[in-house]
Amino acid sequence: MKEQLKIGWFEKNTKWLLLLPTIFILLALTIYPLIYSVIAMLHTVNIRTGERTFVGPGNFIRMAKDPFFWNALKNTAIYTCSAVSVEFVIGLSLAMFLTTKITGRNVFRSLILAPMMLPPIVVALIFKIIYIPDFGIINWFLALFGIKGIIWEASADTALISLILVDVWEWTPFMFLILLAGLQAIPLDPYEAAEVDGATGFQIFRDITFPMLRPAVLIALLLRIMDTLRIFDQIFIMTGGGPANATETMSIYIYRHGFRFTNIGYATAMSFIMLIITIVISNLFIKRLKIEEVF
Amino acid sequence: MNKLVKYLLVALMLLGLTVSVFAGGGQEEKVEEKGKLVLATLNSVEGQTTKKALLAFAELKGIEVEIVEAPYSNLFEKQVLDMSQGTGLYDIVLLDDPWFTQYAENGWLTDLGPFFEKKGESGLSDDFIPTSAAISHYPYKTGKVYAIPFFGNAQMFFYRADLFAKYGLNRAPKTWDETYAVMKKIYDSEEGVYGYVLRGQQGNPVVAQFMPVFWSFGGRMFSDDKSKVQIDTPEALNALNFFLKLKDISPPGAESFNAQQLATHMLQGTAATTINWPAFVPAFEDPKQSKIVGKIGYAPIPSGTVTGSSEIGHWIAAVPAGSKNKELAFDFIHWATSAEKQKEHAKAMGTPPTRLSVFTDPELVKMDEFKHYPILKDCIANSTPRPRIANWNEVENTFGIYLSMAVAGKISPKEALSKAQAEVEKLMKKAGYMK
Repeated sequence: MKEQLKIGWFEKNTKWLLLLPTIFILLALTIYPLIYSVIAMLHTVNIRTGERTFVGPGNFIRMAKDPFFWNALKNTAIYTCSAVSVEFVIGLSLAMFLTTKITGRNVFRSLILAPMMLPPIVVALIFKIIYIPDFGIINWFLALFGIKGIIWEASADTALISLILVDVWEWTPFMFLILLAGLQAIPLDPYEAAEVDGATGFQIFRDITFPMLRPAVLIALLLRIMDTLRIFDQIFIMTGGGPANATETMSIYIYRHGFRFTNIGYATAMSFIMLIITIVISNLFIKRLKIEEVF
Repeated sequence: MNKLVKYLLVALMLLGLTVSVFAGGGQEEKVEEKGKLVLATLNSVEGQTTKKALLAFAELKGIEVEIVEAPYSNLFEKQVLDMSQGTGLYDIVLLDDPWFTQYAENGWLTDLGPFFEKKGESGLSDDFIPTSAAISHYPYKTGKVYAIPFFGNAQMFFYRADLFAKYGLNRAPKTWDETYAVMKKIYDSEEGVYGYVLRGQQGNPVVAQFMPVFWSFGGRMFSDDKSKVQIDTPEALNALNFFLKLKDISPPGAESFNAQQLATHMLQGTAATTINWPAFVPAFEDPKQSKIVGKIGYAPIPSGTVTGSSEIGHWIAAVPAGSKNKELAFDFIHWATSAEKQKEHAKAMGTPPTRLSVFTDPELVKMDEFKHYPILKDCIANSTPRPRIANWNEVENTFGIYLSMAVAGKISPKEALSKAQAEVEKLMKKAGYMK
């Protein structure tokens, strides 16, 4: 009897014991840094003495008054919105096109995925060469048609667009991949029924394809938005945030303050704002996803 | 049986956890016993040279060494992280001289004076070029010695001697006036060759490019006691206006050029002049990658309203205050920066020395690859350091943003300078240099 009870306790609690290491790691890797960063953003840290001075909302007030912060936030917003929407439109068209039965479909599919396989640093270095106004390949082609070369990432007016184009080139395949998978998961029966009813191609897309593709669309958008919000490598390599601050994004600005100027408190406060923005946006998407699941 | 398996599983996991937590600690103790030297260095030819030197030193002394190589900005982060936390991970750090003020002011470096005394020396040898020695002292020139200059870099003026001769200047250019006149002629008449190539990328690059021009027009960023910011001045405006004239005869896209793009334009023969670091000299003189072998000339920075001056950019070696093997670490940097070793490094790796006797070494000067040494020596001797302030990284970045705006034509030179003045003043107040 006693023996049985003992086994019962152990049986009951095994899951907790087995979870213990995970909980410990979570505490060490996420909870502790989170608490630490909340403390850090309310202070300014003097790394010379290691001394912390409590400033309360001081770092956030500084942010509100910091024109470079707003500039970085604006650039990040433009970058994210344009890159993700262009990637979505192209990715969806490609996915629709390559679900139809055409010859060489598989070859196309693999080819399209190639850019995604390259490390972002490599992509940045390649595009830096492609964009050279004098002997870069794009301007060379433009010259063939008598079009005056563009100064791409070196002009403050076109720098951000040039970087967005790089992102589109590299990450449209990702969009394409998820949407393609989504398209292929749609059953054929509704299409057959629609055809029998004599629906037009656009009607089929609007009433069947798109609604059934929505979960895939939401996931693709969510992942890309989270990814572009923290864009760093390409910009760091290609423009360093310039010219005239036209391509400085939040990640670059936070990096500068945190690692180059050792303003740990200020950098943490800005990262926190980024975290909140990311959480709010993702929650919007996740909620929609959940609603659809119930539906 | 079932119970036993569960017990074992839990025990195993806990064990694994404990081992992984304490494993790190065990290793470090071993390091301490053996008198191991750990070097944090750059992943470049300079870094390679320090690595080779340390390996040779290890063999000589029979000690263990470890070398941590990192790219430029990463190296700074690693060093700051280690030294601000006092972890004592590194025994020797190779650092870029603009980082030095921050390191020394924060008390992160070891005063090398006592170690020199032990060797019967009063400090850095007189053989070091005075400007190289000055940046290794804190405060600048007059204070204690915290580092030894390892590699001697200072910007040089590179020009196409053949084109300059063709357009009427048969010697090295001396003033910006005469230089600009020739550069403009080349730009106007020589097919496919730009007069200058400007390093305009926002941040450190554009500031490093502007400083020598700024100085040659009599500008100084701060007053000597650092209590005044002197960016919004007539001298600076003259300098910036001239800087924009240089941009006008540069290839398109100069707004995002860094040192490498400058070198590429020179190597391809598509630019007539530039200001750049001497690290590119071996490439310019290498027929395999250069179209300008034998056509390129080296000169000091031309003079504007005052004598021209290059920006000094030395790699210097220091011993962090947290090091556990200070004496051994000092022995190494002392040994590796001797005249004999510097000559060896120059011959084997092409890295520039910091000692006068190596610059004038009869054997080296005769060699083709070192024909720029007399000029480089003069450039270093007449160089100006970046302002010796602990928050230089932040000041440089802010100044760089406004310079970039001016270069991109987004705001007028006057506006750029007055805005930069205001922002830099804020930073100087925050850092306590200004009241």
